[in-house]
Amino acid sequence: MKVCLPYSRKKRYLTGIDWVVLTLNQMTRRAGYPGNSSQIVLELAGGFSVDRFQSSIRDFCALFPLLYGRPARCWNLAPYWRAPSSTAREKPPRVEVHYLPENASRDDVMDVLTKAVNAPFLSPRDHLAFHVVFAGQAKCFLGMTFDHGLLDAGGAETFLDLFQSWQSQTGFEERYRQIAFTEPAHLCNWRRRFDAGRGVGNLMRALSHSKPCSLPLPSGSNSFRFRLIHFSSEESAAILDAAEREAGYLLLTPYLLSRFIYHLQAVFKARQALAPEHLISVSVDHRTAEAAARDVFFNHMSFLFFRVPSGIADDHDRVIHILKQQMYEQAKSRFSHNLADASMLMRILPLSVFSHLRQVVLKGNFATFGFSAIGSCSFTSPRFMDADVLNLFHMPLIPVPPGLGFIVTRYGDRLNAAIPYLDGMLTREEADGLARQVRESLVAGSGH
Amino acid sequence: MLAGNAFDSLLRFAKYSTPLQREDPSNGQGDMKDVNTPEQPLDAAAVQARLTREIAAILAVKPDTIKPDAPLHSLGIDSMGFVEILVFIEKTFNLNLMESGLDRQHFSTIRALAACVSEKLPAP
Repeated sequence: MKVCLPYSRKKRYLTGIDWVVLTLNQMTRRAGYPGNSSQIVLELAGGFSVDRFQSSIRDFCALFPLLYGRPARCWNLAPYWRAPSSTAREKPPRVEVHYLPENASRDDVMDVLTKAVNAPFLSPRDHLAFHVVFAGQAKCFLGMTFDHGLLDAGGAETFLDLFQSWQSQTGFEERYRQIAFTEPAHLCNWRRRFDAGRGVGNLMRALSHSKPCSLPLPSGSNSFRFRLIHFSSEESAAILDAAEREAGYLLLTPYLLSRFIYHLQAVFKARQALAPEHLISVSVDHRTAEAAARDVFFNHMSFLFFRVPSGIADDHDRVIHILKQQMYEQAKSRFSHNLADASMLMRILPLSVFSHLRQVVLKGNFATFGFSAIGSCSFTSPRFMDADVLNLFHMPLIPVPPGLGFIVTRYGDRLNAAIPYLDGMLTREEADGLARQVRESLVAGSGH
Repeated sequence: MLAGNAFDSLLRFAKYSTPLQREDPSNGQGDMKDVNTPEQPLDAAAVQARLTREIAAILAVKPDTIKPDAPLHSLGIDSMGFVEILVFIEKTFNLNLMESGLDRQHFSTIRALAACVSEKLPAP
């Protein structure tokens, strides 16, 4: 007998982490910034037909009604994503085309992409926008700006890979069938979630007593700036080798953080604004490659928090040791899983109340910066719209506060890093110096 | 502080309310409980079987799809996944390997990791 469970593609329940992400969006917007969104950029050899891309992306997006959805609350009080039943009357995502002169520099391209990611979405049902930047005959860039309420970084990579698979007619239907469009309401296992909440509450209490370094939020600005660091295949291999030598096999995260903290500490020292410790909020993705193919939409990550005393920030070995210890302790206590579990309870709170509560609980002690290291890239196609893909990198907006981040991503055998910061938070010299020093120190390996 | 108090009160409330669904008996810990402190000495093959099961659980794949000689990074294990494996080893075999050198030679494949663990286990 065939059993059919009732579900609707018009309604996808939001998890606790989705609710946290929407809360961060609310906080960032309230601070006057575009929101909790990001941009994934494909660097392509040559160009492609914009008309064909526009019609393809319109038809492709029509397959996913949830791209036109918005958060709502169900009769059982669980929040959900309300998607239209049909996309026939929906406006397709915006595609903007920018032509730069033949002699345009990479900085010119980055200026366009920076403006693109800083442009707020036009309506609450708008979650995607595309920007095509033609920089002469040799190269073009495709930027997909996306709302983190709908896609996380890994999901955005998979979405573009799915588009390429649909466009080139290579196995799309099989992949489409695998996508999970629904999610249960998770109105069960209350005791487990309350127990998880107790563990999370303990850490939050500890964090509320911390005295983290923080750069003041600039006034009169409402946008982000970026410093992007690209590494060649050889440089990336050297970084991975150095990470293995200094931190251990597969332990890239503590190695990268030790380098960034060292150079960021110099900024605080120069400003004479050093506080007792650096507090780092780290987003971790528990999704496997198989799960990434299924869980394309919404958020499937969680968070860890690391604390590094300023007094030892100049000593790489000690910083790596303390970060490894904290990673281990938080993995042992299942903190990131508990946070995902406990945050299910917080869905009862309206976003404005949740964001206010977060500020009260942490007593205004927000992280010094946000960090994320995205593992293997989910965009695996070597071509996009018949153009060779040269590189793929991310330009995320970091929730405000702290409005400063260090993000490392991987495309094939190449690493890319981004330092997003609020316009005015760092001076041009500080931002340039930080990016240059981080690059030099990572490429040089064990040297400072 | 507020969140801690709120959680404590909610916890007290939850203890007097009936869960809507049966609790997960393993409390999300998978099969960790049944293997904690092995009663019989384990050889490398038995350690390898347990590690394969755990890594399959972390990767959400079937254990028989995991090759024991495949490098962990090629399986899609990242920093956090690797630390979770080390935590599993501590909970299961009472060995804390985080403080060891964590060099590729001993940690890069399930077979090498199993050999390293079984070597460090106390003799029967």
